[in-house]
Amino acid sequence: MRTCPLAFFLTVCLLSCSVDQMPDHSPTTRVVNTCKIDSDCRASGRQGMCGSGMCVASSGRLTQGILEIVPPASAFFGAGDSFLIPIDDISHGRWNEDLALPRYANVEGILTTTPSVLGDPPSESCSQAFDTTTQSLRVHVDFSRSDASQGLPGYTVAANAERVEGGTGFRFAASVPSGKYDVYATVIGDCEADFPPLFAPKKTLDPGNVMMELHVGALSTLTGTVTPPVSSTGEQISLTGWTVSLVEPEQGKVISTMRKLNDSNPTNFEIRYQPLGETPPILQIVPPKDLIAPTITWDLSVLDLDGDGQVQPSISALDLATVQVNASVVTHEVEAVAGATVRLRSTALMGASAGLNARYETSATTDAEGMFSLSLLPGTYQVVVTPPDRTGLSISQASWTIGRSPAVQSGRAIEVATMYAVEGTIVDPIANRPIENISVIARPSTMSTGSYAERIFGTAPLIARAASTLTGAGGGFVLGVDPGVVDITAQPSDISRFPWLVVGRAKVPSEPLGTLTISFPIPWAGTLRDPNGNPVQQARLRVYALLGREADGPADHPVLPGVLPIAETRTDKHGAFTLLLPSEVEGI
Amino acid sequence: MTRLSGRDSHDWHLLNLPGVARFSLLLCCVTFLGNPSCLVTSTTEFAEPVLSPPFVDANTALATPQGGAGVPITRLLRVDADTREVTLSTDVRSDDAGRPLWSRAFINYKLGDRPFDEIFGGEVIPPGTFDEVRHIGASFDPGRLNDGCYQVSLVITHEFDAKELIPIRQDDTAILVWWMIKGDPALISLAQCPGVPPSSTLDAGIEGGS
Repeated sequence: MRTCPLAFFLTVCLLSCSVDQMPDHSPTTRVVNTCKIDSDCRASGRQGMCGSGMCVASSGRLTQGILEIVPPASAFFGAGDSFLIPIDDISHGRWNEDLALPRYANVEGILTTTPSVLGDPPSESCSQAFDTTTQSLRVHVDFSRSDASQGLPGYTVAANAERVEGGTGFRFAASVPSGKYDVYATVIGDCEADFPPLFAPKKTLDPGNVMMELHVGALSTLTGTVTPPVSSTGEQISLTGWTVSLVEPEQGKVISTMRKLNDSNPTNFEIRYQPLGETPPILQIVPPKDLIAPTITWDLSVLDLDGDGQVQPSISALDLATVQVNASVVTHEVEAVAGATVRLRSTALMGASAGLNARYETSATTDAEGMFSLSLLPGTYQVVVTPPDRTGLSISQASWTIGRSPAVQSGRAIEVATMYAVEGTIVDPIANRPIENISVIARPSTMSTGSYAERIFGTAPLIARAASTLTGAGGGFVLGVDPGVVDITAQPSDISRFPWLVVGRAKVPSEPLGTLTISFPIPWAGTLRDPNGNPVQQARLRVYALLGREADGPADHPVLPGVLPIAETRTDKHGAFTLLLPSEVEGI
Repeated sequence: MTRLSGRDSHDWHLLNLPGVARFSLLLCCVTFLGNPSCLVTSTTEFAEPVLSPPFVDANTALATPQGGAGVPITRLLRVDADTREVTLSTDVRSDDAGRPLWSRAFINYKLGDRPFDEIFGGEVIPPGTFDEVRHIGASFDPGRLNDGCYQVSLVITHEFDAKELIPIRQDDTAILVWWMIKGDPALISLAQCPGVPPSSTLDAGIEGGS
């Protein structure tokens, strides 16, 4: 009887061994960049060199870049701040080139003016923001990095001027990473009717102590009378609540006092501003927030041809009668798309004569039936629909022309397409081996932003949403991407010692990318230290290539200007880093 | 055979000897066999192998464009946009002391702020001795270069720096230099060649042993 349990156990064991075939879970072969001699790096016909046990490129195509360094939040110096350092000659490797974080620019400043600028006598709120002894103003100052217009990460620091003991007046102070900044100062308090904001672009702030003395002397005055639009009954429409101001043409920041038209003075205005030099500002009339009416702009040099500071802007021909539009968003299979954001931007409004730049923008969200309803001014619109994420539907656009009648227009539908597939296969440069399980990311291309004038007068560019996936067996990937221009990066792990594969400015939709071969790296190794010589641990280093110069593309296919992220790493506990820059970038 | 006559002489065996006798006999044999080795009073002296720098025979140095004839270092090398490969080669002699001999092709080697503009991997040949004449070479792709004048170097050494990719020791290096024009020679002046004053004449040549 003692043999029964043993027999039972053996039977169970035999049964468990009856699996005739194990599932095929073969481990993924990790493709690593390794070599012993130069010829190891030429197996696939590519020219590589064997250095420090890995194949490296002799030289790279990209020559200039920007290095962004962001120390971690726990860092003793520079915690969480973004430092931008221009780097030259990134076409060749550098193995022992250490980096030092630059010292902060410690800005201390004062904004002064003459009492007559604030009016005679100044308003009570302006008096409170003015120190008569030092003639300084209590201002709010924004320091915004100028490089952001190139597509580089934005960085803004704000500071308020406070009265300093010792009779030195209102002073502001801020510490920012050195670089070029746009400085924008507004008076604190209800003084905007008397004192205009000050805009000082591209101020160089060097490391160390920086004394910034801003002064506003005599202001220019612009007076005028707005000719209001006329209703269908022939009556003039009141412009009460509309605001008149001047904006600078690069970023659209207000640079004048703001004049709000009111019942007692519905058409006349007088605003004061500090001239920008040779650049003419833009006169802007903005309707009240909840009024369905366009923002209207004029180039002041055109409106005030004789330069006498008196203008007669007219919007009399503008048709401000609104039309109710009921529409829906559907898929190709005519299924409703709920939760989609619909943005409309006028490209031409009825009644806006040639030379009158009137722009109306509005947006809505579709309900559960995919319906939305908007009141619109008659005219032509660019309609951009952004479906909710993870629906597989892409951003789509259409052009609508809205007539004056009927007053209620229903039945329009916008069809959204499915995401466009961006396909490719990623292989290594040594033996054309497929690389599996690496991240492939598509991001909207970071391009230089045009001037404010260009932005408000043109159609809005479609900006694709970011998408990511992993390469599968055989190194293949399929990304679902919105239409537009994207930068695609495949990011092998640090262990592989391969650089990113970068496809810059890829247009979607387009043909499949095919087989993409990762390039040999251009290594850059060193140690990151703070200004006191201490290593900086766990700092993020990201390299951007600067695009848009003539050398970046053939004349018949110019590269879209801006920046392109090409490499990233983190420093180790000793502050050491190794950046592997790609020697080749596809698409540029 | 009587009991007094003892054992039969035909039955004698070494084991019949007493233990002491057997040990003595073994000692004699060992002494006899070991004596000659103890008589050697000196050994042959073999000199330690000494590494010599590579010596190249400049007369055998050729730069050979793909599908074309070899160009010696005394002549200008011309390539066009269609040339995809040029092989630099030479005969070399060296005492390698067990170390392989490496070669690389450089474009504009040590002419500017950088050690080189371009670099291309070459042959690695097994260790040899000075009395062997061996052949070594490296190829490069001029297709990556813009039209212009370039200095092209075949650099041979026993060890390249793993990071900087250039020879570690200058005194263990041989360098052969060609001047190369890519593109239309009518449009490219020799004065455009890098690192050469405009008034100078261009002489390709050799550094290191020859």
